[in-house]
Amino acid sequence: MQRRRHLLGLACLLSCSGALAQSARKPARVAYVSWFAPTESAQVIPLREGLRERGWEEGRNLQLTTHFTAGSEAHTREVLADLVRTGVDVLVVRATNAAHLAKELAPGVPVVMLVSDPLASGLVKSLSRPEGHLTGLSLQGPDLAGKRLEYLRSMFPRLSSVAFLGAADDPNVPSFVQATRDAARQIGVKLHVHLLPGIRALDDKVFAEMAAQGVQAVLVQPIFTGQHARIVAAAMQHRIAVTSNYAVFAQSGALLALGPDDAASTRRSAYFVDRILHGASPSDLPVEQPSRFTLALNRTTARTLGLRIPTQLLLAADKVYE
Amino acid sequence: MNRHPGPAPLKAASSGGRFHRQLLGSMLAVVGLPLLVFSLLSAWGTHRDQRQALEQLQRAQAQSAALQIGHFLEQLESQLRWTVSLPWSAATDIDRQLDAARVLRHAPSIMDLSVVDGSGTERLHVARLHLNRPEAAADRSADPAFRQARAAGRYHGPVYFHRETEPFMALAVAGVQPDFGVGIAQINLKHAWEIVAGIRIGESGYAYVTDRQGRLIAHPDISLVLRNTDLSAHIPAPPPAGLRSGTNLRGEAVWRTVEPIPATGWNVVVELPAAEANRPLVNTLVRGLTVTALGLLLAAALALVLARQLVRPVQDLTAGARRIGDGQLEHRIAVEGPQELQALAAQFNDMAARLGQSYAGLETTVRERTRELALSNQQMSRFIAAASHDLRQPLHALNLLVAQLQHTTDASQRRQLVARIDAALGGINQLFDGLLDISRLDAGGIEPDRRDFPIQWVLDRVQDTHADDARAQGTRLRVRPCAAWVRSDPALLERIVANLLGNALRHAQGRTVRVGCQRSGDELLLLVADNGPGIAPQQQPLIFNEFYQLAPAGAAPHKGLGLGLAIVQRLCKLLGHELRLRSMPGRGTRFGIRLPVATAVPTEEAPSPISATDSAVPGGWTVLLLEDEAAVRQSTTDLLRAWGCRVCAAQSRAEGLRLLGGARPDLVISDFHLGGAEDGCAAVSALRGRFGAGLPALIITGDLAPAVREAVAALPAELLHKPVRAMNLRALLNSLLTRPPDPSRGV
Repeated sequence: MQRRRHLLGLACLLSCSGALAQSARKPARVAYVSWFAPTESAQVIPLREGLRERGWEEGRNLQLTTHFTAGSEAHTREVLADLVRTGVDVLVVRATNAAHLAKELAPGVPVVMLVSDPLASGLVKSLSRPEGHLTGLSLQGPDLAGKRLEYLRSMFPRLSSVAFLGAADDPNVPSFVQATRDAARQIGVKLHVHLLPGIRALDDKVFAEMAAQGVQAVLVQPIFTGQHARIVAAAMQHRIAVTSNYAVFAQSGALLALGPDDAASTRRSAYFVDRILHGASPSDLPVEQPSRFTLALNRTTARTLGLRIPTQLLLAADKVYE
Repeated sequence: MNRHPGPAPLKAASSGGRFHRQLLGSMLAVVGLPLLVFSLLSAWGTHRDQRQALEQLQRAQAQSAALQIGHFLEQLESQLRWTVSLPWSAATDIDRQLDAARVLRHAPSIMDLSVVDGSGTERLHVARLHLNRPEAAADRSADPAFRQARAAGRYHGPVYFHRETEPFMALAVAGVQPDFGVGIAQINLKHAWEIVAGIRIGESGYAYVTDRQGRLIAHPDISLVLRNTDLSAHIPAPPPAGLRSGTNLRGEAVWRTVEPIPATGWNVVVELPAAEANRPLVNTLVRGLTVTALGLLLAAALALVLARQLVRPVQDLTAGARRIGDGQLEHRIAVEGPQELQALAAQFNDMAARLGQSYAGLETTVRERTRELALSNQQMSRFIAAASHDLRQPLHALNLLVAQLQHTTDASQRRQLVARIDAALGGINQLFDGLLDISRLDAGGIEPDRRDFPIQWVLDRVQDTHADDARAQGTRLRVRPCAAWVRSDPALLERIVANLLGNALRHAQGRTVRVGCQRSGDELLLLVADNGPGIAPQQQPLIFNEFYQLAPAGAAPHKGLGLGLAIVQRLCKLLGHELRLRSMPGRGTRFGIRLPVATAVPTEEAPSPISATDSAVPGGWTVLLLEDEAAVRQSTTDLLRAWGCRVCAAQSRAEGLRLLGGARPDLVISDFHLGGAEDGCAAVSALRGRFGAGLPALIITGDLAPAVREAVAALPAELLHKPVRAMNLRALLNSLLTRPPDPSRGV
């Protein structure tokens, strides 16, 4: 009789503690790994907001860590290895290089990627059925290459020579280059491709080279976002117009930026994180493409360069910086 | 009074249990059945209502969504129309480009836009993402978009999945006039997602859109669209109207409504998971069943309480009744419960009280009877003692006299002795008469033969009987005549008066004894009075007791036992005549008998008394005597032969018939108890059967039982009780043998 009562008490205690444990479930561990520099830490804000909208509160049921590796493969590897060791539920990875490393180093971890062209860079088999542990958003980087040139051309009536600034270590470079080359051919401009070893290797000298080539405008691979101010400053010294994907370029003085709404895309990545945390498999979630594109112009730069912005460009523009 | 206490408690418990179960069963049925039926009915009703409501809601939502999609497309068409609102030549390229740019700006879902002139040549192609095409790039005249738009004014192309992921369609609008051209746009239908994303049915219901082939083009979960989900397997084409059940992609059961969008051939499908759809039904059922269960519990509890309320008092009653039955009459049952049961318990208690009383009464009665019995036993003993005492004297005398007779040879001395023997016998006979009468009276063996007759008969007879004795005593006997008629039994009345007169003569020797009547109204008081010594008041009640004899001062030694007055009292009681006594010591005694007066019927004649001194029996009669006692048989035979009869004496009928040897007897005299299988009556019946029913028969028996008397009377035959006086026997024989033949008897 005594023993039975003891057992009963023990059982009660265990179930209670179990219940307690249930309610105090482990918070979801999400890690944001970005190839960009820590200066771009603002990138993660839309992710946080998106997660909060979906009920994931940091400190309550979410543990979000951010890692900006500034283009260092070694550092990225280290971070990823560390995350895998300590355990992470979802990886949100920005930029193709990081995504490739995540694919390699964290095979069991679902990865939500924000990359320019997952299909071309071999990260997924198809957009509709990723069939791997990676899914996320395509930022359609190379797709817009042509359009950028077109817009540039509309501003530069006598455009004849453009340059493409890329990072050699970035897997997207071939598609970027290809798309730009096609577009250049179609439009009838000359393209000079300048590939730096990596985003760390940015040197102002390259613009001097471009100037020597007679380049009028440079299309900057979006991977250089974060160093946009420096690039613009350096380029403008040689009176070379800068175009890129993201509005921040235009804000810093680039003539034109055409690309998807970066913040919207990052916010949308929260949807993927939420689905995965609720048990969906990355292979079931198709890669999404941006719905909205932002065309940003800088009128001051245009004036400085003596360029007139055509009406239809103004019509099409979403942001016009002064 | 010990009943079997064993099985009784068990029976009480089991009957209580069965009653419990019955009550429980009925209450559960009464409560449970209606509740259950009601819950089921209401659940079914709810289900039906809910289905209707759901169908309406889903249809409304679907129609709304269809409208919105149609609107979405119309918006796009109207945007497109701007590009073909002017003839081609009227606008410059720049303007057209601007128009196109504007359209792209205002319609984010348009990915590219072509303007084709009236002849089918593409004049303008502006794209959002890819490069614009220069003018006159392609011949679009064969394009179905161009053709159909030209024909019907607009064109909705089939849905295709751009890059295998995003749903696109071609939309074309023709200008009002053919030379305005046709605007063709590629629409990214991903933007239509918002239309269905906001549709809510209940908590988990949703809507989506499929194209003609059943491919998903808009869904709240965009990932399903981007995956090119094919729903043609889930939704039959053409889709049935109304609310239907089905399964969704996840395999869940759903209720869906399909609403077609006629413009494009797409379908808006509204679904609600069956789990949610059935929730109201389940809720109603659960509610109903809960209420039913509660009701059943309540009913069970109530039944338990009620049953206990009813069963316990019944069990108490049973236990109490058993205790009373076992003999505890003072036990009183106390029950709690309904009034009716308490009333029952009160009845039980009442019954027990009365039982107790009656037992007490019975005990008292038994005690009394026992006492009376003891008393009568005492009396009987006294009676026997007195009888045997009074018997001794004459028997003693008889012993001596018979002994003397044996030794006496002298005839005259012998005659003297015989006379004294006779006298002694007379005393014994008298004693037996008295005993016989008392016992017959006590046994109820005398039936009064009431009739109306003149009282003078009785007066005459007593005078005749007692005149000599009175004269011998020297007592003056005065019998006053009376002409009144009375209703009574003359023989018994004569007996009464004779006894009283005898008594008076005994006590008032040498004095005067008067017998007379006093009339008052319809009663006659017959008086026997003497002026003898009288009876003291304290002795007056005692004189009627048996054997009570007042020792009269100077009275002659009396004959008799002192039974006379006892016989008088009994006879008066039998006849219903009140007996009065008035006496004072020294003043005499007066006995009075109250008789009812009767009307005179002049034709009545006094019955001729049986005279003791009739002539001898006519001789030569053959008498068959059946008697099993040898001495009695011998002496009876001798007497009969002395009277001149021819006697055949036997122990049984068979022997008697043998002795008769075929001769016919004139009279049968039989004892009742013959010692064989046949009694006297049966023998007489058999003999009558043989010799004719007119054969006179006389049964002489010592058995005083009324049954015997009745049997004899039923034969019919005469009856004499032993001991029989010779003269009585002779008189009876005489009457039997000389009686004219009775027609009723036959000869």
